[in-house]
Amino acid sequence: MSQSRPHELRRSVTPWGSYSWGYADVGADIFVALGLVIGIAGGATNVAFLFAGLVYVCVGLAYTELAAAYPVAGGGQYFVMRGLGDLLGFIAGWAVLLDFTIDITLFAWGCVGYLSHLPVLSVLDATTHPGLHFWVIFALIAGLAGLNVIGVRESTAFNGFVAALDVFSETLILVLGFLFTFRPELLIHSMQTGWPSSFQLMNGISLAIISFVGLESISHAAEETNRPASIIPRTSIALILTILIFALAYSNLALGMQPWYPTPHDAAGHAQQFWQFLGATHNQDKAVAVMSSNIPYFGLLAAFYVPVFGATLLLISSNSGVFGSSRIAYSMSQFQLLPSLFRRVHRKFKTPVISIATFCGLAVIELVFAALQGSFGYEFLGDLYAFGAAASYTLVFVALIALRLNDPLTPRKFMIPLNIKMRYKGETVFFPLVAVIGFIGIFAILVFVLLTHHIGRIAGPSWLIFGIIIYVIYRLRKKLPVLGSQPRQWAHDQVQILRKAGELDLMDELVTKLKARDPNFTVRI
Amino acid sequence: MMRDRFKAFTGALFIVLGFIIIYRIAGIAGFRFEAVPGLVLGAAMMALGIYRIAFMIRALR
Repeated sequence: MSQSRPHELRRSVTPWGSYSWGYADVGADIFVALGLVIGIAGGATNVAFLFAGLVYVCVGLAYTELAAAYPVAGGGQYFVMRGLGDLLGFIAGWAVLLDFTIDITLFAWGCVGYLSHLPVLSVLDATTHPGLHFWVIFALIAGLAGLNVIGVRESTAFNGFVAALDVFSETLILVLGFLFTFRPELLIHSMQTGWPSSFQLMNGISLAIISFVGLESISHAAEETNRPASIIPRTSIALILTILIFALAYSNLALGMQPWYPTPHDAAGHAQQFWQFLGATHNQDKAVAVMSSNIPYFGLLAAFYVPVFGATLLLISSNSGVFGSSRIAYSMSQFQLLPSLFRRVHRKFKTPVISIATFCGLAVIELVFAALQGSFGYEFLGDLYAFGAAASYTLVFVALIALRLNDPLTPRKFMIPLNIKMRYKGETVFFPLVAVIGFIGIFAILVFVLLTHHIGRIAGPSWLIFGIIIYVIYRLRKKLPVLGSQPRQWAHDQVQILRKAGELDLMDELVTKLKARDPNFTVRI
Repeated sequence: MMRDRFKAFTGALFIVLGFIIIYRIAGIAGFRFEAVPGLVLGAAMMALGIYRIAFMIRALR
């Protein structure tokens, strides 16, 4: 992936490149989420992932339609701004920025956690050496910030290689795990004896959404993909199904796994089931590594391979947070939702150094707060991550509905199924039922976050309020509308977007429809 | 050609694995509540396998 000027990205991403770009952002999530969810939801872990997974399918379909129809790198922030106006667009983007900064810290934490599973690096464990653990994560964040300022990024080829290796590795763990260790009767027993309280189940579902965060990468890839309206749906559906399968498979395997080694007793000396061992505080940040090392014979190799590979994947995902946050901030400042200083680039390196420094700095602050939580630091980060994702995705569903109603002329080569054909303001529109179902699901998860996360319910809304204050001050200074939106020529913009994307057939279709609506409409070159 | 064969192989693998998971879980737990996540997993794997094979056939045409 090139470090090119965001206002003129080169469209060089292939279908596999688009898939691997998305997978590099989302594929690592299960390495983080599994331990967190098992620690809370216990015997209902697979149910938590199922609920979150079905909501995620709706979110994925929404992003697929929107990214294919509006192939611009702004992602959720752009879709919401376009559909619902500048203020809500800002809130959606600001919520995603929370996720990207948490992404930096949470995945760096996970990286160190997986490395600590290696015997030679056990000193990195958070529970036994918290001070060293903190400084190593700090060094990783600082290192990633430095690399991004200089402009060093993993190439698309490297992303593709890592994605292929990860799909292969995760599939291998699952196939061997299901073949040699899975006991359906143990799965049922775990679910019946380990069923959590309603509070814990809601908490677990709200954390399970972490497994699916990163879908914005679909839209980021769209601006660098040629013919995105054709490529994005194809790769996105495969990506959505792959991630869903991995999340369900790991959670079911964890509950029904007969481990190769005897499960150690818990801290109080009592016998425990394997899933309880996985969800223990000292294993939460390396659950996949612990699982894979308990597969007969393969575990001997996995004990070294999975921690190293998992740590690499998590480091790449942490880096995606650094790059993604600067890209979102750049897009928001282009539309005057954030000050223009977030668009400034370094004189020598031509990178958005202020954005990178700002959001990596925030990531360090979050690290400090997480470290202060002691053994609950990992959960603290997960709480915030879940809030940002739920808030942003809620708005994206509303934006999808708004754009279907207010922008029916934009060609949609891929449309979410289950629509009601109706007339709205003299135009034929298709009301998306899946968006309503998805909205209900993600809003429920947002409510679960607010009800069950005692830190997330304060820190998450505080972040939004802090952002809104910045937005109001900035817009008043620039004499721009605060509650309203700047006037924009969306129709002309969309024609240009489709032209630059190489979607000339769709561009012609749009121009024809626009001229049928308004014979005076002319295309500006 | 190799890529198409690989897609066909992985598609078939997912269909077979999905069926095995459904068969094993349904065999023990039937279709009661505790079996639902596992059955959905098996169905999703079969769906991905069918999707990959269908896409490959469409591309060959």
